[in-house]
Amino acid sequence: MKRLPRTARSVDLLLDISRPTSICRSCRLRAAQQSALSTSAIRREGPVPFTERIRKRIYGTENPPGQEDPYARNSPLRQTPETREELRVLESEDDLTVQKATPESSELANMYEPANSWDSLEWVGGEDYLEALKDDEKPYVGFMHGTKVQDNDEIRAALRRAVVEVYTLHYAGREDLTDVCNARHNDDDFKSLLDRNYEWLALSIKEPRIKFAIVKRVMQLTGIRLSDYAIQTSPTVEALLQRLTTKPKPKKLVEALHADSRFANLQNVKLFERRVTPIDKEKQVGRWKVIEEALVNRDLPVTGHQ
Amino acid sequence: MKRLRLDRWGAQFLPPQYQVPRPRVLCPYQQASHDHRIQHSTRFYRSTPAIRDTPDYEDSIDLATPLEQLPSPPPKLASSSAKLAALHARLSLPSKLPLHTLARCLVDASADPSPDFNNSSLAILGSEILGYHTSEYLLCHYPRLPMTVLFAAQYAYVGPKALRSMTLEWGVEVAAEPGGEVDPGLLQLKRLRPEEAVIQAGETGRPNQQWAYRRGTSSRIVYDDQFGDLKKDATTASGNAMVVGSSTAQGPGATDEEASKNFVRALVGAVYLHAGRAAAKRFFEQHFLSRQLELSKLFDFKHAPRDLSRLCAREGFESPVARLISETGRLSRHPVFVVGVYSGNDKLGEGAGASLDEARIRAAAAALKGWYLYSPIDAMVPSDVEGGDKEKKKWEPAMIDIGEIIT
Amino acid sequence: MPLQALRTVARSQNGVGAFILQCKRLDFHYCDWAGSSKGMNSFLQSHLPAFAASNPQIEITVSPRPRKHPVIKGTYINGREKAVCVRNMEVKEILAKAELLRDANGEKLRKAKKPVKSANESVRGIWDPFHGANWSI
Repeated sequence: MKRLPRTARSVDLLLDISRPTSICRSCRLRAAQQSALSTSAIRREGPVPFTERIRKRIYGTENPPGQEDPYARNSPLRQTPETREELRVLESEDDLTVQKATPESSELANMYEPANSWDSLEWVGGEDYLEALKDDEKPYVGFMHGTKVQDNDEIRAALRRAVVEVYTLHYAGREDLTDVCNARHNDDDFKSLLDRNYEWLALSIKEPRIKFAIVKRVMQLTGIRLSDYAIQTSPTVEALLQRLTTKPKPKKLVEALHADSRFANLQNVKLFERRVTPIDKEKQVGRWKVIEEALVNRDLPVTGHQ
Repeated sequence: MKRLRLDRWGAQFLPPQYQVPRPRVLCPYQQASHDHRIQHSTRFYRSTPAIRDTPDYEDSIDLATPLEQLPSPPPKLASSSAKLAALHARLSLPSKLPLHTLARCLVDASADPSPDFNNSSLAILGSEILGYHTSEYLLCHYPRLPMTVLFAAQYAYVGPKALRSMTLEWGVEVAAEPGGEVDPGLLQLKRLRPEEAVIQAGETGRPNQQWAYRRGTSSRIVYDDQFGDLKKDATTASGNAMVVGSSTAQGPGATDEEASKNFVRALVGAVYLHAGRAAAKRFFEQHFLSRQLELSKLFDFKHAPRDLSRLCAREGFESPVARLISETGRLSRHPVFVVGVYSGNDKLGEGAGASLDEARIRAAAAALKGWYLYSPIDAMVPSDVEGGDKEKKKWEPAMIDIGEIIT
Repeated sequence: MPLQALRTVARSQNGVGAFILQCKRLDFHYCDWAGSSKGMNSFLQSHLPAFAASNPQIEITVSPRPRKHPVIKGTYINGREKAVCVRNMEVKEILAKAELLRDANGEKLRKAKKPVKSANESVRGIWDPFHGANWSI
């Protein structure tokens, strides 16, 4: 985990010795322990407690181990050898010096005078502003496919295409497999790639680089966003296909009812998407148009109130 | 003689193939000049029916017209109406009768004047079929019914009031205003306004028109409809007969009773055309004949003892004599006299009353009812043997009475 | 004046000929958000198609009623309505309520005091003292 740069660590405010502090000794001690530099030496204010002196004598060193708070987030006791190595590397890179910035002095700063009205000021916001901001020379191109691909055959073809492309690059020895996503040509006819050979479904995609590239490509082609859980629990291409093709549970009950084929044959059942309002009931019996005309003639609001 | 294939002729009444240009009889509500609001309201009501439109309902109807401007819903919407499908199943209609025909039966001529989209033609056919089956039943099962009672019985089974109550019993609701956006399962009519409801006597078809208000039974049999009432042409407000087929004139509105009558008749006509004669008869028996009618309660005698006496004279019975069978409380506030009318030693009828006269008249009435309400056992109706030799039923001639008593 | 007739309308005997189910419409209201609608939502997905198929004469509507408890409303031929709130009910219970509404007519619930209700007069007649064997005038 990347450590915060030194300027951002709030604990450094506590460690600033030149400032007069009203912090108790134990808090200061804890702050010192949480600081990275305190893994090697304990910086303390005031006399050394008796327990510390005993521990020093036992271990025979200036910094006896075991003083670190195991529950602190940055405690060295929570670090594995690998992360410790990473931290050391990061710390060496993170050698920022702090400089105080000087205010920019210019003639403009002296000439500044707040305006009394908005006549000559630049107008920010509004439709014209947005129009002016638009840059039609470089229209925005989204990463993913505009709409979610619904047809299962098309999804399958897109997945096969992604697998083929990624593996092509992989066998070509390319480092960055996500380069497949740079091919943005517009042939939407994926179905021509569909074939009867199913061996490609059994391919294992456990390797993170390959999986990531395939997933990224297929998401780009189909517009279907897969959850992290779905990606992590798909060891093979077939499992990925399963995740892509299963449709989400309908959020509204009426959608599920419409999808149910049993209702299609029932002529005596009527399903409504929205609440049946009194206006709907009046329309069904044909009275609404009379009411509407009467309200309009009297200059009264048709829905709502004045 | 070759059998008339009415169902073949009736094919012309079946719904058109949706290429018939629909006459744009504009509803008054299209005057609302706020077009955007109308369009908003059509889009506002959005429900997806459970049944999806099949490809062959791809419309020939102009989609640009909002539904409110059409006089009745387009036929293709019939398949998306749950109310209509439920009505079809509730009445156990034959599956040969399609939903769009049922939807057409629910559109009255006052709502949509176009004869291709309303039920007027089907109603004419259906009224004849209903009238035929009812009258053959009554005539064959009660051969001695007097004409006036026959008219009343016919009215009780298939008259406008009966058809109105049947429409209510079938759960058919009436739309508030006709229009294309209305649910096709509602009965659509344009309601009669009070100022239009004046009935003037029109042409009854009689030679003595000035005395038409004093028409007798024989005159009714010849000139009037199946219930003995003046025909519809004679009672229009304008005095002129309504021309069936005129698509431009939107005449006066209709009452609920009239529209229900047209609907039921149209339904019977539609069943006949789509499912055949036997299905129509079965429909009639299940829905109309199953209803209970106390024929004895329809009689209203004016001179019962006199009529009985003439009847006995005609039939050669001994003249009727009323005899007291039992009595109680003669001097009290509520006496009961039980009187029997005897022809010789045979008791023709018995009646109880609070006075001797009352009892005697009731007895005579009971005797006459006994005569009039005679019903032969195992009576057959002519439609039982219609349709060739499928059932192999042999026609047993019905009893024909010599006629009513002339007094 | 000759014999006249009185006009009436023949009375229906539902079931003697054709049978008209008295429940003509069932509205199912559910909510996507409320927890009390969980059973109703399951019912609509699992049991409603079969229920609707076995009762084709009932017009069934399914519509959301947001932020409200689930409810089944039945409309009957006599124009009355019956509503049953099915909040927090299981699928089987909701099916039972739907069947209850389907089997009802729209009449108000009332106690049946007599065992038989009929429009026909008694077959053997009501006793009167005037027609007995011992009577003689």
